[in-house]
Order: sequence, then structure tokens, then C-alpha cells
Amino acid sequence: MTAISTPTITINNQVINILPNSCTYDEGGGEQTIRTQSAGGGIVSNIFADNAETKFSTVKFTMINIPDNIAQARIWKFNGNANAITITSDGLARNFSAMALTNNYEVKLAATDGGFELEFKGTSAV
Amino acid sequence: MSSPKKEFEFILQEDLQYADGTGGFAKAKKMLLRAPSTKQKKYSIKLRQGFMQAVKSNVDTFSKSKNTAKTSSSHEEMKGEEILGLMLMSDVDMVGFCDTFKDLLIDGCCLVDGKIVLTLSLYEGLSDEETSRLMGEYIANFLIPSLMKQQKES
Repeated sequence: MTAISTPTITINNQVINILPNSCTYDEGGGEQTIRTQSAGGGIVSNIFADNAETKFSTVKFTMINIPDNIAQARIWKFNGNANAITITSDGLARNFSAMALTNNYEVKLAATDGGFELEFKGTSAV
Repeated sequence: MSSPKKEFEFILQEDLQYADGTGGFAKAKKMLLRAPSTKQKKYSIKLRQGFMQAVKSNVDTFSKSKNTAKTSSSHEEMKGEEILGLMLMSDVDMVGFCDTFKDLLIDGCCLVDGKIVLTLSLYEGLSDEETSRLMGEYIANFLIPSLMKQQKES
């Protein structure tokens, strides 16, 4: 088995080029917590809580500062949450709908380490 | 004389998932194919040239197919499969031909579900069988009729 490091990412049906090893995503399952309550006498019981506020997915990756990438990011930013993202690789396929480019990304204009990190948030992965 | 076809619907054998432009995903069951315009001339010329080369390099087969088509009604009704068979039997560079066809489609000649322009990513999501069938049907509907029209006029 091989670890996945170069997935294919599409946004709105277009394959995009990203900096290798820069893609992360979460399933959008949200955060769950366990608390304990006690009635005394050393007896405790666990209370499970599912935090619905955190049930959304995040997709992050870095792009290199070439004009095409900068132009594409600008389009996604002004699309609001009308972006649809897919991440695929051998044995992995995730679809993210209603994704908005939420971070106020900074484009670093430099020759060797220039680029910008994008962070999309939207409906939990399917 | 009937006016040339401008578009036709291609029914997919397998659903194709695509981003519908509103942030969601949908499954396409059909595609709308458009006749090439002047913008796509560099592709359509190459495809016509390839087809004519195939005809030239395999005249006997072509005559046979043409006769079969005649018995049904006209040249325009040559089936996509027959055309593809004819092309494959010829010495035309089919890899280059397929690449040109792909470039033509993603240049705006194909709309998924009749609304979203086919992209390379979507094209690559189609099965090999589907793209072969699509190529045959496209040639049969748009490229052969225009070649026949030119021959009639000359």
C-alpha cells in the first residue's frame, strides 16, 4: 500500500494544479465530546454530545503564484459558496459541495517560495 | 433541401457526475453536441482530413458501408459504429485523431446535460466505449454531412 500524496483535485469540473503534499481535508463529521456526570458514591456515567456547529468540511491546499492560478482563485472567491470540489486518488473519492473560499489569502510574489494557501469550507464530504 | 444539423443529443450509457455550477453535483444522462463553428475550424478540418484519408486508404470498405447506408435512406444515416470501424481499419493516426476530437469537444462543442461545457476532467470520466461511440456519432452527424454537401456542390 502507498500513502496518498498527489490526489487529483477538481473545482467546478476543472482539474487544478497544487503544490505537492499541500492538500488537507476533513470529513466534516464535526466534534464530539464526552463528559462525565456523577450521582455520588463513586458512580459516574458518560454523556455524549455531538457539536452540530462544527459539521462542515474544510479543504486546504497551496498553489504556486502563476497568473493562471491567481486568476482561478479570484473566480472561486467571488463564486461565494457555489464551488464544488472533488478529491480523488486510488481508493479515495470525496465530493464537497457548496464550498466557499473563506480565507483572505495572501499571494506571495516570490520566485522560489511564492504561492498562496486556500481554505474552502462547505458541506460535509460525501 | 434540409438545413444542416446544428446540434443533437447523445444519450450516455452510464451517468456522468458533474459540478452543476451552483456548488452542487448532478448526474448527467445525456450530452448536447454542437456542430463545430469557425472557432473550432482547426479541429474540424483535421477531423475531416482524417476521415477522408480513411476513405482513401480503404475505398472498398467505404463503398460497402455507403451501399448499406443507401439501402436505408441516405449518407447522413451512416451509423457511428460503421464510421469508427472504417477509421480503425485505415492507416490514419487514430491516437492523434482522438486527441483532436477531444480538443474539439472541450472547446465548447459539448454541453453536459445541455448546460455545462465539457471539461477535460469530465471527458476523462467517460468510459472508453462511451468516447468511441461519441466520436462515431459526432462524425456521422456533423462531419460527413458537410463533406457530402461539398461533394454534391462540386
